[in-house]
Formats: sequence, structure tokens, C-alpha cells
Amino acid sequence: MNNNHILLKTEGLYKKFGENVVLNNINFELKEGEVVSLVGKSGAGKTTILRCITGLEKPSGGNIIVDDKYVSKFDEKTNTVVNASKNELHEIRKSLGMVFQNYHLFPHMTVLQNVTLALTEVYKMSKEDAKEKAIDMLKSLGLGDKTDSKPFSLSGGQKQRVAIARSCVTNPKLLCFDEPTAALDTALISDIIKIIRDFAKKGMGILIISHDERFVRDVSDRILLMKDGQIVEEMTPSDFSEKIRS
Amino acid sequence: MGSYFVQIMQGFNVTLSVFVITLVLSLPLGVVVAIIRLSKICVFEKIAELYIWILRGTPLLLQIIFIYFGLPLIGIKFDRLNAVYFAFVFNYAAYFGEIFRSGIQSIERGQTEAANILGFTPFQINTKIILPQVIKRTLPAIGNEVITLVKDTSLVYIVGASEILKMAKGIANRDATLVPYIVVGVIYLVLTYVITKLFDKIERKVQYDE
Ligand SMILES: Nc1ncnc2c1ncn2[C@@H]1O[C@H](COP(=O)(O)OP(=O)(O)OP(=O)(O)O)[C@@H](O)[C@H]1O
Ligand SMILES: [Mg+2]
Repeated sequence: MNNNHILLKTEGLYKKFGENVVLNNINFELKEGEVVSLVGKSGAGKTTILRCITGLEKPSGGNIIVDDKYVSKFDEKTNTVVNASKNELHEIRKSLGMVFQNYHLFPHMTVLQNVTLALTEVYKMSKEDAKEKAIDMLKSLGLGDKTDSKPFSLSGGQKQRVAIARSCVTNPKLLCFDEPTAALDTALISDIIKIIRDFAKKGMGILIISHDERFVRDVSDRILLMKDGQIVEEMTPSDFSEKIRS
Repeated sequence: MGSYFVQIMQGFNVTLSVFVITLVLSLPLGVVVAIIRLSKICVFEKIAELYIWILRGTPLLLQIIFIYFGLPLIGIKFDRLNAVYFAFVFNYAAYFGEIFRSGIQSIERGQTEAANILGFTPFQINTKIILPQVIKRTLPAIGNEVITLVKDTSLVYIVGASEILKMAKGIANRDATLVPYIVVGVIYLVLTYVITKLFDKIERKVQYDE
């Protein structure tokens, strides 16, 4: 496997809401098989980065490149940002997965339906194949006995794993997490670390946003510290663990 | 009493057709009103708001009178029942529109965003993810409106169309008896009872906890 392929690159990413500059010149890359975490105080702009990468928010400047395709590109001639068209974004999103802080599962569907829906509707897979694939994925996440449950009946950690299954069943190359440990206890946190490391081992690139310093230290290959809309420091896990101890 | 029932039921066609036509047309129209109201296109939004305000803010009876007796004065003529259908459909579409709007707005935006990233098209998101949840959440309110509609069909008497209440009144005057009023009351009660049970059943079918 070629572990040097760059899955995500931002160049001079800039974003303002009205007059409020939220991201200011964000530059970083993420390679295949790499786990990168963004840390920083509340309001630093972490979630906004994820939302720009996934096309939910339009940047005000700079470039975002996911798997060699432009999500948005700054055009110097016209001084404007050109965003991927609907169809382009649709293609790009096939390489992307996102696990939201509140999971946003579909409450009217069973766990299994939550996971198969994209396979049958977006990837036009047959119902049987989709079901088989989804069940494999759910089993690998320890949810084999929950396939017919509705989301309301699951614990926070189970809901999160359903959200992970739903995002990963389509084999995204880049998986983004917003605050994955916010609702988890310590035992579940070591589970999620293992799950994330397993995905990375298979070549998936993983971008994490988190407040949880120990989790970040244990799961990441690289850590980017954000402050007031800028990346102010890049650290290895050992740099980071010294920093949080001091 | 049996013969009163038979005579009153001669008006049932009109009652039923007002009920059915209003439901069949105003429900989809209500969806359209809700979508326009949420369109974020300022002019359309304002028009929809104005429409809802007027239709919900004035009596249905006035709307029927306006269309059947008022509009002919400026040369727009409807026959009896068409005037009634018009008034009912536009009135109920306003109510259903507001019910659907609040239902759609009650679905957290994060689900749409998650679905977007999973690659669903807007059409798939609306039909597979939003709509089933909106139906479930709005069903009790829709049920209330449908029951109100059963009773509102009696307003049709104002244009002289022969629905069940008008039939009952005719018989009561003719025979100087109050029995027809009781019979027609029972008919409304049976209708609303059946509808209540029906909605209970559907609600239980689409029920899921959140
Ligand atoms: N849709 C929006 N409209 C206006 N301002 C916004 C919007 N979204 C975010 N912001 C602002 O952008 C700034 C960064 O927000 P963001 O959610 O990215 O922070 P964060 O680093 O994820 O914080 P937290 O750790 O609390 O989640 C905040 O000041 C916020 O008020
Ligand atoms: Mg955030």
C-alpha cells in the first residue's frame, strides 16, 4: 500500500461569518493511514474546519483538496472561491465520512436500515448484498445483536458505533470525527481508540476534533493545536503529552 | 326514526364529497404551501405567510360567502358546490401547510447534513428521511383537523346545498319534531368516532420512540 498518498490538504483556508473571521490561513495535510487531531479551546474554529472540508460550509478563501479533488478552490483572477458543483461534491463525498457529535441517526429506522440505506440508495447495491455488508460492519463494531433495534433504545456508545458503521460501510478514504468521546466513559474510550487505530491500519485517513487530551494523545499520529482560527503548533503525541503535563 | 335516517342520508353525498374532495386536494396543497413558506425565497415566503394569515384569520363561513355571493358581484361566478370546494380546499391547505411547516422544522438539521455527506440526493432525503418523520410527528394535529373538517361540512348549508344538516332541518320544520337533529348529531358522532379510531390505528402503526 502506498502510504504517502495525501487524502486531505487545505491551503490558506479562510472563513468568516459576516465580519467574524473564524478560520485564518489554515494549512495542513493528512495522508492515508494517518490519524490527525485538531485540538484547541472552544470557539477556536475546529468544527468549522470539518464543516468546510465536508462541504457543509462554504469557505471564504483558500483551497480544500480531498482525494485529489477540489472541494473549493480560490480563483486568483476573480478573487472568489469556486466551490465544487453539486455533482462534483457528490463524487467527493463518496471518499468522505463524518461522525457527528450528536450522531444524527435516523430515528425512524432500525440500526440495520440506518447502515444499509446509503448502500442501496446511493451505491445501488442489492438489498441482500447491502444487508450482508452492513451486518459484517455492525458485528465488527460489536453491534451484531442490535441490528433490529431502533436508535432510541441504544446507549450513547452504541449510537456512536452505529454512526461509525453508517459512515464506514461505504468505505470512505477519509473519516472525520467531531468530539467522538464527548458522551463516552473511560472503557468505551479505549474501545473507540482501538476502532480508530484499526481503520487507520487499513489505510483510512482520520481527522479528529476533540477536547479530550488523553484520548488525543493515545489515538493520534499528529496533533494540531488551534487558537483563534489559526493552527499555532504541530505536535507529536509525546510532545503533546509533555505539554499537557506541564 | 329509521325513515328520518333514510331521508337525512340523502344529503350524505354532498357531505361526503365536500369532505373527501377537501382532504384529497388540501393535503398535497398544504405540503406545497409548507415548502413555499420554507423556501427562503423572500417574496414567495411572504406571499405564503399572507395567504396563511388571511385564510386562518377569517372565518371559513365568510370565505364561502365571499366566493359564492361576493365574487359574482364582480363577475366571477361559481356553481354552489364548486364555490364550497374552493373555499374549503384553500382554507384547509392553509391549516395543513402550517402543520407541515412546523413538522418539517422540528426535524433536526443535522440529519439532513449527515444524509448529505452520505451522498443522498435532496429528493431521497425528503422522501426517505424527512417525510416519514414529518408524517409521524404531524399525525395527531392532522387528525384534529380532519375531525374539524367533518363538522365544518355543515357550513355548506349557507349556499343552499343539501347536506345532512340541511336535510335534518327541513324534516324538523316539516314534521315539527326535534328527532332529526338528534339523528344527524348521531351521524356526526359516528363519523368522528370512526375517524378518531382510524387515526389511532395509523398513529400506532407509525409510532416509534425518539
Ligand atoms: N453558522 C455560523 N454562523 C455564525 N458564526 C458561526 C457559525 N458557526 C460557527 N460560528 C462561529 O465560529 C467560531 C468557531 O466555531 P466552531 O464551532 O468552529 O468552534 P469549535 O472550535 O468547534 O468550538 P467547540 O470546541 O466549542 O465546539 C465561533 O465563534 C462561532 O460563534
Ligand atoms: Mg465544535
